[in-house]
Amino acid sequence: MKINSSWLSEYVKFDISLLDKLTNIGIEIDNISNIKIEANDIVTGEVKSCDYNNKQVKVYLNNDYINLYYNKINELDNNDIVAIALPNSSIFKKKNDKHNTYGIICTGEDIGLPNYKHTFKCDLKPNLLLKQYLYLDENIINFLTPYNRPDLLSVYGITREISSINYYYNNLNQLIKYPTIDTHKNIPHSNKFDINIDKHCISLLKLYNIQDNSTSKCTPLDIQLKLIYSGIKLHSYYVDIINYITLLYGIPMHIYDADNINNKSITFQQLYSQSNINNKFHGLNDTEYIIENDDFVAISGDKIISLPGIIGSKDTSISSKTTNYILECGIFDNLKLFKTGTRLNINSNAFIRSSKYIDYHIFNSAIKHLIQLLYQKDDISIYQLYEYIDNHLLNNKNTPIVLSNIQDVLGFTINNSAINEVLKALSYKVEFNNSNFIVTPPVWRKDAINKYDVIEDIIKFVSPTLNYNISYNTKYILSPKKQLLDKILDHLYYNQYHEIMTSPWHLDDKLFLYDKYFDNATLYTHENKPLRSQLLHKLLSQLIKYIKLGKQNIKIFEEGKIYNKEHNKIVETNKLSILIMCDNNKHSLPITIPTMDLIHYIYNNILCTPILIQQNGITIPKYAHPQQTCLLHNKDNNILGYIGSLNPDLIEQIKYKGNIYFAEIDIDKILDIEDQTKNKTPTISSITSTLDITIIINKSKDTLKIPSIIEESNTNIQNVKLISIYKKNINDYALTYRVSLYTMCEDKTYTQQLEREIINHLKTML
Amino acid sequence: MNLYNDIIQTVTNIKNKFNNEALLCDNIKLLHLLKQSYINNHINTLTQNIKNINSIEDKKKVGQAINQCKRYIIDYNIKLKDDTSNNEYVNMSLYIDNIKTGSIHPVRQMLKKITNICISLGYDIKDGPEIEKIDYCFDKLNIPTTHPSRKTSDTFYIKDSKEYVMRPHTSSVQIKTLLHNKPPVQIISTGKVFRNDDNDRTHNQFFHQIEGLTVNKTASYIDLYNILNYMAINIFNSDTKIRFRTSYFPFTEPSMEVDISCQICKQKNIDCKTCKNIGWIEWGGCGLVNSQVLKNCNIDSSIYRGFAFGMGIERTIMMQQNISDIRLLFNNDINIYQQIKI
Repeated sequence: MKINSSWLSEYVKFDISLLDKLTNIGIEIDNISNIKIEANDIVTGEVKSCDYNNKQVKVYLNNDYINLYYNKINELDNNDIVAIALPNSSIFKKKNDKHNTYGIICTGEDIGLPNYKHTFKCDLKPNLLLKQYLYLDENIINFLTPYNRPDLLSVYGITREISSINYYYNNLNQLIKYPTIDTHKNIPHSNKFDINIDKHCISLLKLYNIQDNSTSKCTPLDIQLKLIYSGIKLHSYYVDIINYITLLYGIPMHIYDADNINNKSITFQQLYSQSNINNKFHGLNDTEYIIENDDFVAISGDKIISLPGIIGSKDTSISSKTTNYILECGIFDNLKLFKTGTRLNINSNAFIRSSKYIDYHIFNSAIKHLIQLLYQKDDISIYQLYEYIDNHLLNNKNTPIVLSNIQDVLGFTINNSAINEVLKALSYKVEFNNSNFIVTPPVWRKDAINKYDVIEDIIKFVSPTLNYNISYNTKYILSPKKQLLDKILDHLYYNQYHEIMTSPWHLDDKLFLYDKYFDNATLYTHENKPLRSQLLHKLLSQLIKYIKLGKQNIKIFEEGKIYNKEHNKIVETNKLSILIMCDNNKHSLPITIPTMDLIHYIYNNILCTPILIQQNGITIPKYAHPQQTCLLHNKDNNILGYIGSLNPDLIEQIKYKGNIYFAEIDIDKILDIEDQTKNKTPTISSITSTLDITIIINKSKDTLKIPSIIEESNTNIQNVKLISIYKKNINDYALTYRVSLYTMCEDKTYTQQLEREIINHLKTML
Repeated sequence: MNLYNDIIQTVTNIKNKFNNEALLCDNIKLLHLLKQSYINNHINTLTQNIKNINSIEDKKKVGQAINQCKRYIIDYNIKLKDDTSNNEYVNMSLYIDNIKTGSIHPVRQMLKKITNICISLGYDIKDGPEIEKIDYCFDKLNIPTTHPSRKTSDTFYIKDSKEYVMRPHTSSVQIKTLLHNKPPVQIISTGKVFRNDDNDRTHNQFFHQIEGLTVNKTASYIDLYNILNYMAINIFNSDTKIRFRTSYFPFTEPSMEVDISCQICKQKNIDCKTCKNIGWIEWGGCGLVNSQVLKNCNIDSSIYRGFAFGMGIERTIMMQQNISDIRLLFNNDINIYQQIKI
């Protein structure tokens, strides 16, 4: 919600330095923008007549009449007060308008108002210097309020929070005071409209009839500016005033053209299947909606004239010719409104507030303020048509909360006077009884319902002084499955495979040509987005990109989930897919498949379990080579995956001249086999995380001793256990060894020291 | 001509001298230093003298002689293998660049790092499905039916199924753990999560999260603060500070956003585009577990308390590596992945 700082300053002591504190107490500041208005040598003039054919406007200015050429003459009417830039002004000089010599009529954008392209009109008298009536240098603050604080969706709400900061930090007891508003004139009842309501959906409803025959139509200048700064489009006098009151108090209202309401009757009710109502609704935003049963609507005759609290209809919207209005203010069933508004995807200002919470206690102030503003016009009469208030609303008060064990929950000491100070600043009613606080939240704080809510309010202001050392409380280790997966991925890493990550969606448009080689998606999101049913498909799309980029001999892999629907059940499977590009290397025999070596290594050295590879009499996937593909399965005949070459037709379509090898492995199944065959859980109870050390050792050393040395080191260096050793030739005389160890923790200082100790130990022992 | 002869003679002398000195080297490290010294001091000086020779033919011959000598010194390594049988440990820093590896995706690297940190703090790791029941994703987490996160514009629902969504967070794993385990519970859950956002510089329709949960009789606000402080120091650097800002999440009460001190400007706030001169960057969310959530999981909230925290893995990588566009992490550029070492 955007609010200009001058508006806030009308009610509370405010400066930009408070924003940091506001952020800390939960009202985030999204951004602050500064607006500078150019108003030197700009005066107000009154439009006396318009020659629409020649685009000439006769304006009364400086006790004289001048004729000005104006392109947007259709926006003007007689008696409008417009802003005129005189020849000395920078706007006049900048525009260099050859048609005009005495001055030019300004648009909002000329003056510097954001997104205001229309003629700048105001409610001032002619011959006044405009700069005296504008905020020339203004900060506009965009507040992001938490979801559970709908009371902050108004200028008053924000000022209440600012006043609590002022009170706490500066001892400025400047809590917000609502403006003193005279009660509006006694309004005689009118029975011109027949009003019926369904009380199940309404907590409060007030309807007024307004008869307005006045000539003045322009929204007061200060309200115009506030709305522009808040990012709300100017519309007409009534709509602007209502938007202003909604922003100021957070109370949404709606206004109808009373002459367009048929039968002089309005019914507020839920839509029933039996009612003969046209369920098509043409909204103010020019969109047609289909209303369903149980939606809460306002009806006149067989037509829906509004979705109360959400949006009005186009048919009953007001225009410049309207003189007979109906004003509707109400508190409706917010859950019902939420369902309707969400289904129809309407995000109006009224809906945002009505669907959350409306503060009943300032409801009357808002209406009084509105009526007071309306009475500033001449020749206007306002009559109350209808009033309904639910008794539950009147009796709805916040219940007292007992604050016990605050120190235990916080974990640090906080004295009672500090708690008292904070809660008073936040307008809580505080009592102290039997060493416990009993606090009652202010009426607008519907979010404060238990002691944790109150504690949250306390820590907004009181932070602990930290003096704490973390202690390692290591109980768990990586599960055997995760350890094995880590090992497999490590092996791939050290053998120059690159891990990639693709999206969970199934098909890429560019891959459309190759779809016939892969299975279709079986699961979709509500927007009909297909979820990937194969990982290799996605991996291949990535490989094609690399081929197009001219990369050679790349080895890539991805480990992730695929999603399928089997027998009406959602099935997620973890897959490991590998693709290897081999430029100019067409193998003819399956035994030369590079992925075979990889699989053998994984099974023999990492999983330590037998693997059966079968080439004949198997079902070959469409993407695989009919002769050069093997099936992996265990002795119980469970299929674990496939390895081999890709289908040559597919490779040809990709326009790749070499060969592409693949492996598609069901990672869950192979890790399950491991669990059954050999328990590899590390035995040291306090061991937790891993440490990798890379060392270079002369080949002539007895490297077979390394595991035993590491094991022995556990007696000297606490909590170390060897996971695995990877070796790799550097050159003819040296090897690089990567030693993976379990260590106690990931603390940098600890691990660095540990690494030094282990290297020194190896040095000594080898 | 004299200069030509001088240089040729010097080359021969250098070669002989190097031979004599190299024989005295009893380990590879010393030989390496000797080679460096000869190449830097003697060979490079000779190379500079070539420009003083006038004849182009002579220049060629001298150049060839110097190169031969240089190659002889470099290749002396191989001879050492035959000559010596001593056993010497060599510091990895000399050759580490020669090791060719593939690349592990930065997200997996960061997940591993944070997982290890959490394990050392006593957390167990739990996994869960990526397509999850609405009950676990929203209802049990105390997320009201009116909450915007439940909208179809925010969450991916599964077609033809009123029960399942693509999990918008990994908290569903925490709920399942609480339902099936008695406190004390101390777990982290990691994995992919999905949001119906438009892909842009800071948003992706899928990303990774890590969430931690502690439920016991003594869990407190200060414990939460210290754990996150410890994590921040070990993920970023020892100067990193954290701060809590109160916020709102339906599943925690009190709820806080966690900010870390800006890693780029170090809170100097001078023209910093990363923190917009605020000095802090949002990292994740946390709070004490809402008593209603504990009740939903059949845990007596009058006895047990808990705290939870969560953060995006991609966001953490972006903050640590100063990456401004999340799409960089998903465009599968292996050259970039090879450079990122978490």
